[in-house]
Amino acid sequence: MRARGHILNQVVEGLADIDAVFHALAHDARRHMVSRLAAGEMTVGQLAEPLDMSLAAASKHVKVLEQAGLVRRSVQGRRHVCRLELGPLASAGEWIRSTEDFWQTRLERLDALVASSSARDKSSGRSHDKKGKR
Amino acid sequence: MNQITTTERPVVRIERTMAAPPAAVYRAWLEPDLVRQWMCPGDFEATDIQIDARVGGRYRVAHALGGSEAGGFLSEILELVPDRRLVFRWGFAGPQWAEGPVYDSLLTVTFEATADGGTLLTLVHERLDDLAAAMPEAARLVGPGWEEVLGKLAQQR
Repeated sequence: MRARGHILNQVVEGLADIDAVFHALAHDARRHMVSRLAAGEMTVGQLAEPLDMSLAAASKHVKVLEQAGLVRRSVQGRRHVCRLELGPLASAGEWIRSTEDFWQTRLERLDALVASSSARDKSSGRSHDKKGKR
Repeated sequence: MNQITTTERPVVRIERTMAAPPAAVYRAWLEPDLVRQWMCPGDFEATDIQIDARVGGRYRVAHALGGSEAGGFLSEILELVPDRRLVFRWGFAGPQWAEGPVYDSLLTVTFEATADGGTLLTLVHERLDDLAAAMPEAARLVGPGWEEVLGKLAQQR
């Protein structure tokens, strides 16, 4: 029954992701990092170099990218290697399918609801008719 | 999860035949007490429903999960033809409502009487591609070279 509540889970989590991605990409240095990482893995030091910033400053930016799910950092000995992640961007495509699931399930429920209430209306209407005939 | 293309199915279109007549189905979209009973999935609870049933009127369905706000739909009625047709600017809102981003789409619902007194409901939910594409789009806007990035990433998969 995981499909239930699917769209809202998507909406809520999706919004958080989108906000995080927006935030992450709203800075020149971080966009620069993302572009470079598209070419392949890189250490935090390598990312910092052309940006003329300290390792600590670069590390802070990487952290923001990590929080948005755009970058994954692994520690190999003393090196912090960063890799670009597609997850948060690719998952956007799921919205449409979950919207369809949402409406399918909701319309089933709507159908059942109006069927039962119109059945009630009809039966009460019939009883009126019977009374009228008497 | 393995596709970057977010526009492959930008429109959701569903047809469903219902036993109840169009007037009853139409009403179930506009009366809060009825909406509450069907537009709320699974574990979620519709905590607040505000419907101003006129053109330009607000259509708000708030959801909560386990007692905490979970956002919902923050929409506007664009067209309203009694028993026949409803058009909404359908907005998806997060728990912060209008303070956070609201992603708009277009929802059209039509109600046609069937020969046996039922309703053929057609739901078309479109402009979802804006919503679905919000992330890559925004990314594309904030910096050149992003498409190239996406292209490279796509090749990796």
